[in-house]
Amino acid sequence: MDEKNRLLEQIRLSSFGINELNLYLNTHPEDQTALAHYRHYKSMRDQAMKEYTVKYGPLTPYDSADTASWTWVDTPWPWQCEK
Amino acid sequence: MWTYEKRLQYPVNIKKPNPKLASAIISQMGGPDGELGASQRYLSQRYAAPYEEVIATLSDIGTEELAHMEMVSAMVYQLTRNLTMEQIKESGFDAYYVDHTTGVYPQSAAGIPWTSAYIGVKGDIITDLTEDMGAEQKARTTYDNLIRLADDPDVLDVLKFLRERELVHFQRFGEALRLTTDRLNAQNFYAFNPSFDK
Repeated sequence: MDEKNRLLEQIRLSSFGINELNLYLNTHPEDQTALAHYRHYKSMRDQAMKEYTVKYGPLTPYDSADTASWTWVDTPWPWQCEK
Repeated sequence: MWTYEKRLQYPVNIKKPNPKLASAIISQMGGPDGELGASQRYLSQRYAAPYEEVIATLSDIGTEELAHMEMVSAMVYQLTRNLTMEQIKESGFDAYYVDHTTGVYPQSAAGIPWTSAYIGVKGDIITDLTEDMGAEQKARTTYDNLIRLADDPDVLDVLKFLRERELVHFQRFGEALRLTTDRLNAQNFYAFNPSFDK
């Protein structure tokens, strides 16, 4: 797995952890163990997102640092992957 | 408001085209128990929902369904890439091809276009959450049926992920229903509609 895919996999994994805890915490808002897990995945995701964005461009249109040209339009889009 | 994140919730990397399977899988995009309907059902129901945990649950599961719609669409797209006319004719994909070429159109496996008649928004939280639990089980059955039809491991992997999410959502809606009834008259949950009666 190349560096780009490794980072993307970290983003996917940590985001999934967050999504799952998000749903669980909605119905268990006082669960301290789940809140601790949430913080763990959030710090993992924040770091991976930051690193990915700097190296490979934005994953959301809010995160672009482009000055020369608008790389958001660049392929591949997520459904186009061919591995 | 929503923000698009340029990634799939779970990766879809299908190498082998299979138009016949694509025309079955498209049901989980625009069919009666598909992801488009799921997203619209929950995201529409939330406005009349009375309790904060329930509103959050409907909003966040509704949002995840949008990501699932994208994954199912990605499967249909990848299963119909680089088709020859022979493959289209032999697989029975010609009926779909004539109207949509290889564009991804929200319809059922039987070719019926998506309709909001597939979803319920009753404005009564017990009714709506009960529908949502049923909807998750119907989607789970549909994934079970698709898993029986598929033999490509690249496809099975994604179908199994999506099937598992239906079970998690069913569980969370069950909890939302319990949180709802905990706040109602224990002698008679139906004494009033907390979405309407003051």
